[in-house]
Amino acid sequence: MLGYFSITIRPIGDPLGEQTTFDAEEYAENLLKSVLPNNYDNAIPLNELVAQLKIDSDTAFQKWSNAIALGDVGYFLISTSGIVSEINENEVLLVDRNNIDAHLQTEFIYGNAIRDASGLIDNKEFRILRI
Amino acid sequence: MKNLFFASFCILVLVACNRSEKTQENSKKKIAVIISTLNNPWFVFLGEEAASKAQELGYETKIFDSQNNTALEADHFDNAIVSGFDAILFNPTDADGSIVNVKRAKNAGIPVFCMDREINSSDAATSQILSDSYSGSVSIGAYFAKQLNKKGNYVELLGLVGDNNTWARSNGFHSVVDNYPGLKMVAQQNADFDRSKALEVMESIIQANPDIQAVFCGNDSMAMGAYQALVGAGMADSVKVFGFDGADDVVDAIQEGKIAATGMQFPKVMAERAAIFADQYIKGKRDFAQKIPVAVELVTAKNVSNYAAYGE
Repeated sequence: MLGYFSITIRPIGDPLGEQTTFDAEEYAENLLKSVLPNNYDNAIPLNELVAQLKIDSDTAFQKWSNAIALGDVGYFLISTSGIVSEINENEVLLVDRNNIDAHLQTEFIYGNAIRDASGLIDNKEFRILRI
Repeated sequence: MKNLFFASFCILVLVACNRSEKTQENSKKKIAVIISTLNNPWFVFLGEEAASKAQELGYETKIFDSQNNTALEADHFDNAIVSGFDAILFNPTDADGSIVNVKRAKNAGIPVFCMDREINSSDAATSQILSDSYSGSVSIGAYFAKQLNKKGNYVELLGLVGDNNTWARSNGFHSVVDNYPGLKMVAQQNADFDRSKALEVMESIIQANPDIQAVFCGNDSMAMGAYQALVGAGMADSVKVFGFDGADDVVDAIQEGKIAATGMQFPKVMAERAAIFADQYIKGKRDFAQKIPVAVELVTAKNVSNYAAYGE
């Protein structure tokens, strides 16, 4: 278990000798409460995305998806509103105003989801140091 | 006398021909492919794909096997530097221990492109093309928790303690499963990404902890070793095994219901990108991103038919 706690993350600009550490909690709070809400206007409406994926999925991925990593997987920041029709253990089913079913994860939302869907986090901002 | 003159002339022509062939041979650029171990089919595939892409781009290649030994890896770097290789496509043995080798090559003017495994330096390698192991393990962790209905005892087999992938995979997995108090890790031990060692380690863990429901392994070789130990103990049907890599035997085992899931890496993408970068460097390009992550995809019984081994 020692190894599990043996990694810390620091901003790249920090000189190695200094004892300043990256405050992950502060970073996450700023991202969730300020940075992300300011980018909601950039989200594609769900019905538009569904329509675009049916017409030309390549263009939809090219235009709207984000991905930090090389590969075939893309993530979309979407917006919609509707009525909750089911509440399950780990998700709620939302039927949006265009009658599209959206399964919303409610139990744990992991950092990767925001990182990948928003396209707002750049890996180059960080480096990992073993201590 | 006339015959003697003719013989001398022929020798001169032959020597001239040899010199000309040698000059042509020397003009062909060379790329070294240094791999942590060729005792694991996944790394064999990575090395061969890197060499094959470099050859396709017009380079002479040579594959070196470090046998998971940094001292041997250092010898390979010395060899590559002395032999005048123009670039090194590198799969490191140790995130810290391999830095000095990369720096030696850099000082000799030879660019190094890391594949799959990372070194803990942001200014030694020209670029590092790495699987996004953390995110891949988050996906595996979420599937793991779901498969176990959020409760049960489990074992974790770690890879090489000096390799960053070991911790990226372990940390990604724990970032999910540690949220469930019902999931209890009863043993965590390293098996160095090695099948035989995993078999041995798992056999002794089973003796001390017979009440387990799952095993998370940091790579597929260890997953197969753990599965073999569970078969030996008559527990294979009741314990779910999770791996990471997307190796051929594990893809088959998922289809047969023996292994629950793996994280599919794409060694061909990493190897080809490294070879392309080396080619671009040799042709004059200098601005490369320090780290290029490559996506890892969750493979389960439900979607395994969409995948071939090694993401091919």
